[in-house]
Amino acid sequence: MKIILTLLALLFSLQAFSQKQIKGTITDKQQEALIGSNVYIKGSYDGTSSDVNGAFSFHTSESGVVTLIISSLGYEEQAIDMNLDTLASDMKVVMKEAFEQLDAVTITAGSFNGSDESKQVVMKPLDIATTAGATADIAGALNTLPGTQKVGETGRLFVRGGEGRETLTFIDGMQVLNSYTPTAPNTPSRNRFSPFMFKGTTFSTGAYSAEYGQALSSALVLNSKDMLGEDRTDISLMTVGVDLARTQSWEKSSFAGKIQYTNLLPYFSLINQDIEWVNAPEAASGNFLFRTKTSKTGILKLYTSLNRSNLDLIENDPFRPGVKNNLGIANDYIYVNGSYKDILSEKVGIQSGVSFTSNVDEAYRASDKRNDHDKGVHLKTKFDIQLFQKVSLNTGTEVFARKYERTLSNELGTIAQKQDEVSSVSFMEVETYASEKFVLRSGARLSYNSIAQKASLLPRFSAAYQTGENSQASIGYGQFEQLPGYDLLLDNSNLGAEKATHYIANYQVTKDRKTFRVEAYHKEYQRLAKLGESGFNNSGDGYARGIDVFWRDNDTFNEVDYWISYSYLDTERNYRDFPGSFTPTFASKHNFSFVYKHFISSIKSQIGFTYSFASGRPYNNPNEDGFNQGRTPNYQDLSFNMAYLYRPSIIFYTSISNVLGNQQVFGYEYSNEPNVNGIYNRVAITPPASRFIFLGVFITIAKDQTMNQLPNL
Amino acid sequence: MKRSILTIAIALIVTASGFANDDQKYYEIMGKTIKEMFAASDATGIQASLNMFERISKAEEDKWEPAYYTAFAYLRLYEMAESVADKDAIIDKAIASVNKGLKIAENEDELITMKGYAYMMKMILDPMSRAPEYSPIIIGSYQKALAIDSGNPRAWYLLGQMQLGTASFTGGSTDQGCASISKAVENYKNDKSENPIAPSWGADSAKEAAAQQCR
Repeated sequence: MKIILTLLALLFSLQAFSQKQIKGTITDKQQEALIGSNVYIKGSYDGTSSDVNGAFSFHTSESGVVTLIISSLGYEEQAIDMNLDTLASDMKVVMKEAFEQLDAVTITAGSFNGSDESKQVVMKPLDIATTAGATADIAGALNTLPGTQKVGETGRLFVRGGEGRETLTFIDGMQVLNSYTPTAPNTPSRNRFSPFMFKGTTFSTGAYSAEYGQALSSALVLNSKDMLGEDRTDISLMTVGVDLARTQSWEKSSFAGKIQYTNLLPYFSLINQDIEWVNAPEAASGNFLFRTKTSKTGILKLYTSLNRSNLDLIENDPFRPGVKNNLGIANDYIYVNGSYKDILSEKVGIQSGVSFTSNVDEAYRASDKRNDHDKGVHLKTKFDIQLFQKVSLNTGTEVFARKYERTLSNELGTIAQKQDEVSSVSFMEVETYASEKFVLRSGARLSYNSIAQKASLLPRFSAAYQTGENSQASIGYGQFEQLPGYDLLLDNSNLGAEKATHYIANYQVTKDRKTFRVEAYHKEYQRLAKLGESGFNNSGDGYARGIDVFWRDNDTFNEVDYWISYSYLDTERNYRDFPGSFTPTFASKHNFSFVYKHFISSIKSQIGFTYSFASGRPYNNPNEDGFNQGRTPNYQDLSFNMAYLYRPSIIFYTSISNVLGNQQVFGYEYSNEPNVNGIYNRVAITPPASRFIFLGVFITIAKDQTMNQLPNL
Repeated sequence: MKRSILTIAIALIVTASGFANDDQKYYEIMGKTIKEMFAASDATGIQASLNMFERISKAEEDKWEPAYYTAFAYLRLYEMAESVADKDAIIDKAIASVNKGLKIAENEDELITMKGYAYMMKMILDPMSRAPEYSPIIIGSYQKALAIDSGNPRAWYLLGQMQLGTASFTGGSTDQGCASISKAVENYKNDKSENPIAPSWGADSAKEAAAQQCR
């Protein structure tokens, strides 16, 4: 028996004897101790954490050849094979910093990124929807960002001295034509797309990626939602109309649809307008998004937008009392976008899509009739390829086909005009991270356009460098081409593409939920369409330069979010019928916006204010020498909105534009003939009413009674 | 005779150490680390537990509990962190860990409940813009967990917290939330652990919620 006990004791002590000690220190390349690193033997529980000096020590009962794993957050994991039986002295482990693309610097020059998941969040979809004065219009909200000019009579985005048409909209990477609803002359139009269908917005004010083109100034990239959420029905009753929305999800698919009917007649009959309406603007629209998973990784999305609208009014000739014209426009709009996204392998992603736009305008003024039919198809396939750990490639090819038909008729006869256009494009862009702190992106767009009958290679380049823990500097450069508008192309088929070259430098600091950014830019316009002695040619040019400043603070004051934008713009163009280089009428030198949002829990309400200022815009005064020499009074607007949660599922909402009733003058219209004193008479171009008041009730019906439409407002 | 005793003794030792290397050792070390994790009062202590959970998870690739408690440890770090950005980064790790666990045991109701919990903590960092996307995930997780085990008190408790939170944010009724909390309190009474390391937390919090938020 004794023997057995001895033996047992021996066995246990052997086990104790076989315990080996492993010790050492862990540092980074700069010999700084790494605290809390995990050190262990693969496949066993044996291990420990390094202490404040980076030192570690532990015992193991393993023997022979084992793998020691050392892992530390932010560093590449190390595996060291070692023989425990011949274990030597203390180990010295030096860890290499891991490259985490998510933590790495991103390029911000010229770009406002608005998706929730993005690290450099500046504007989120919700911010767009809750900005006072924007009435949930995407362009309206983006107009509070620097780099935009207030051009109140159009409602469009005018970016850095560019015309409204120089900004192009893309949905899920696919081109959208005619993204604004038609309106009466000098009344603002709205973007057709409701922000709530989209998860994120990238608003580029210049030097944007080679993936996008056909726009001289700016790209507005909207990405539709991947997840549509819980089943629900939303009903909205508004002073301007009603809408009904439904969201439904199945195992692999989901659907969101919204149908809307708006009619401004009740509103206009209540609030006096400066326009004599025959038929107040009336519109019916439907937006549908369907999404299905085709496999574990594949997603197919189908987005459709349909819109029909019409308006008729009587236009009073301001210079000939009693002379009236009937004027109206009817519009039919179809936009269909199908896109497919998948991951082919760990390193290759594919995205393919097709979009189709059809826009029919039937307009008349007195006996002149104009019928425009614009059709466009866009096909695109692109690949995202991770070439190496720090190098990725974005490359693809696309085709744009467009057909524009116009019929003009009056009592004298009918003219039919037509223009076809096909652009074939290949683009390639390489993004290289020299380190987490330094990234370079360079690429080019090679395109051939059937109207210009010319191939062009348009380089793009941008880079960002992280200058501090929260700050970074970026630069951007790019060449962009766009054909002149169809108004010119139909009559001047010889016209080629206009060109712009952008140079941008940007500095941004982001800390907690505060952002400061300042950006300087210079934009060179070449080959602008210019009226010569024998019609239009591409001999025009111009420039735009300026500084944009942005400050946003979502942190300092409880439940308060505010931002301030300022833009300085210096621009001149020698184009169209300009007699030389002059500042165009849409460009104001100083633009300022202050947006304030406050959620007040005690009254269950969110209130918001937006103050906008724009210095006077040029106008041409035929009574004086020179051209575009006049300046309108400064523009000011203070808008207010408020959402009140009556019940979790019922919200009351109101918004009022121009609360203070400031007089807003967008320009002057001069008579064609001088009066008896040789003076050209003028009238100011002003909004049809000094304020716009909006009231609505938003009701949500869902199984989960706490859901409401607040995020959509 | 001596020989046979020796054989038995050796066999016993071998089996005992064999056991020790198996579930018993797993439960023992997990149990110890879980206690340490709950007792840790600073980030360094929690990091040591996180490291231990990581070591265990590497050695026991078919066990979901290390992933579960890793997520819990991150939730504790989350409570200690001060800035929203730090909390956001920490909670992403908790979510990643839960997802890792769900690959091992996709129908484990405790893990599914933890998924809802982690997303709930992520949502409250920016409820206005995250609620529309995350609410369905959070509520869906608790409901899925309850579909698997209708008596899971933690799923009831967290569902109740989510409902009460939404009600206080939107000014709605607390009836739904309080019903869930009282379901939780009731089910905590029968919350018998299947094994020594099965999740068992939350009974006191549920009682406190019932007493303070649902009087």
